[in-house]
Amino acid sequence: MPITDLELVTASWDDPERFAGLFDRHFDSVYAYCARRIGMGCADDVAGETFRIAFERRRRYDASRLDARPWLLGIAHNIVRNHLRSEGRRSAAHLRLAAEPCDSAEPGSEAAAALDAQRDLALVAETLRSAPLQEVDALLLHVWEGLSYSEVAATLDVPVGTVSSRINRLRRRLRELTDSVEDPPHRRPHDVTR
Amino acid sequence: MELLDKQVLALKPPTQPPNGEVREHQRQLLTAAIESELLDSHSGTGRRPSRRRGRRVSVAATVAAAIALAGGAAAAAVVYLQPQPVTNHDIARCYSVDSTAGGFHGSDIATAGTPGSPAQIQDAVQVCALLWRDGFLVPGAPHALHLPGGPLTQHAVPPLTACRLPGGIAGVFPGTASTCQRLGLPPAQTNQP
Repeated sequence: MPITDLELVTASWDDPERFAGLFDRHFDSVYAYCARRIGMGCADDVAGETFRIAFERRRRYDASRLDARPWLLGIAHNIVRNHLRSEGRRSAAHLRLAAEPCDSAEPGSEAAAALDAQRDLALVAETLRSAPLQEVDALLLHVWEGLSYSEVAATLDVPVGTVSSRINRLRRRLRELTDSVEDPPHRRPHDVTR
Repeated sequence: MELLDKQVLALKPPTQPPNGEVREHQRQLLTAAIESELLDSHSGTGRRPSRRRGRRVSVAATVAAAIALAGGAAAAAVVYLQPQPVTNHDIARCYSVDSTAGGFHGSDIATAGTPGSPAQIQDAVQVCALLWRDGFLVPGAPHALHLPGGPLTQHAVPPLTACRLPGGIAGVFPGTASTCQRLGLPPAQTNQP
């Protein structure tokens, strides 16, 4: 039976070299998180720094957590946040997102349906970029990184109830926005013929 | 998963996993931090390692980084006569004094070579001599400095000798062959891969 992250961390208290096992398990995941938030250009340095800081703080590890990933992502999150602040990006306005809406499609076609979906995504993207960063962070950790509310709470070092509130508020914003554009002008055929 | 979450998920930026060189380079940096703590803990001074960032020193092409550390080295009652091989070539210590008392005075050197390649400090004496020559080490200095004079100025290099520190790491002291014995450390064979 493989040993848990908790066992690795506690073993590293007396045998520091055991900590490298945590790196082998989680570096790719931490790197991916950093790459999504700040780009691949400096994700490696931030991910590496995450593990060096974690090593120094390993004696303060919460012994109730078998999985160290939320703890590591929390450290990475703080470095990422400082990195973004240093670049003057204190809001979600510069959030890195995947999809960009396409420009045109034939009305009634599959491409038009895809276009509608893209436009929905564009609205969601716009909402995320205009929402409070704390809410965005909580939702993205939950949806993008697959963390439970409890794990998001551990990552952000806030109570679970706070995580729940932040995510619910942001979902409400998103829902209100998408409800308000149920039948927007751009979806009517004569407006989609550029 | 509700629709909104699916839409948010669709906005997740695609990423590539880190390549092997990137992963290995960062792993080496972590290993260096681990080894430094092992050295510090062995000193028995009770000092906890501090964050080791920002005091990096470039020396020619041989050393990519030299990180000043707090801590100390070994004080043992055993007298070693036979050289012992250095088994860890990822890191070495350049001392600015011929003593391990009062904490570590000098600079650690680490991470030679390109990212992803095994960092190899093949001959710690030679690399530490570069630190002395280029003015990064001066007698008694607690950590690496940079003496004025520009890159062409060459500073005096004292006689140096390498001892084997705990963990199989080379420690290079100003002194002679008897220095290691006086410090209770075995002389080091540093030129082995």
